[in-house]
Amino acid sequence: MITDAGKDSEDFGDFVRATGTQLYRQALLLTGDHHLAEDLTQTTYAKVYASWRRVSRADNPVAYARTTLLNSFFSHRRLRRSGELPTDPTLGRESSAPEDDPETRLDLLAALTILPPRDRAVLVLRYWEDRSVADTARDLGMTETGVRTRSRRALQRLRPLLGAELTERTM
Amino acid sequence: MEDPMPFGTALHDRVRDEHPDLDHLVRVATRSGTRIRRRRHAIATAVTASGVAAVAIGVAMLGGSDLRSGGEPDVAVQPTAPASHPVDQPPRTRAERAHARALRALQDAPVYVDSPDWRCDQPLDEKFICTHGAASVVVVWRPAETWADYQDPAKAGPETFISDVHGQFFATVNAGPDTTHAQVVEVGEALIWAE
Repeated sequence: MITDAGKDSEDFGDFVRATGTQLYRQALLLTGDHHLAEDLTQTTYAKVYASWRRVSRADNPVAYARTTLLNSFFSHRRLRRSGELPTDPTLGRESSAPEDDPETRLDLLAALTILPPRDRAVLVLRYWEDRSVADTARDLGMTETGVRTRSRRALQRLRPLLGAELTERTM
Repeated sequence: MEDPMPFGTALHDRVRDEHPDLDHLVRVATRSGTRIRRRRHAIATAVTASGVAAVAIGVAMLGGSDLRSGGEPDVAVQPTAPASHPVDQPPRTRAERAHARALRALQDAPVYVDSPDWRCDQPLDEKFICTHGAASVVVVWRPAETWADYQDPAKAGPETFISDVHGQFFATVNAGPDTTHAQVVEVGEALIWAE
């Protein structure tokens, strides 16, 4: 016989297996570090599990988890000086290399970490999650103008690191 | 065809091969989430108990009015909260409140910070964060058998506070942004242990 608690755990396990990869990748783009991304993802799912009975009945548990991830990211980042390490601006010049070049791929994560966390979040939501300006603004508690401004400014800052090819056409 | 969103494509390419250990994630999240639930439950129980006690006190006071007018109180006039409940002897000073908070936190972690100046988050995955104004530290408890490794500054970092071993654990304290080494030491010296 499966108890309510057992069923909860089973459902939660299924939820994590279905959504965990996506959430972890988002965490990686936000933090720029595998260990921090792992921490952030674990923290997020722990909070989700703590409210799982309520969350599992919600219309969109994934949206709840995503919001929890963002909130946890903004509260954790206070401690993570390493999250904003300066990056050698010459590194990004290699971004015209083939996309599967490991060094180029490392540069993209490193480049993102030079941005303030909120700018990073704007770019990740807009260009990785492909969310609209309005949705991004709502998720981050900003105005749509604020999202556009931050997005443009962030891409401009990344241009010397990643090359105009990658950032200009996006803007 | 030209990619209309090359930056988005590059982000997807960058993380495409990243695969977390999902089974590990489920295990850790379930364990940590259970701790959060227990903590919430404990807080809710305490709040409920203090509410009951407050109502009892209020009723007792009303009963007092009745008595003055010659009536008899028909309900208990003493708070019914457990004898150990803070309502009986509520912490009055910031230090006393901080100490009570730290003792409660020791139900979830082997170590906590007993300081009126630092506010600490709930422990999660062998660590918790404390803040004091703009300053912040992270406290991590670790297995006692790794303590010797942390005596090497190359492992722990020269600014890390390393506690003594207490039972099965010791703790490290590291500074966040805008935090001095003196503040790290202050937190380290305010650690209390569940043993």
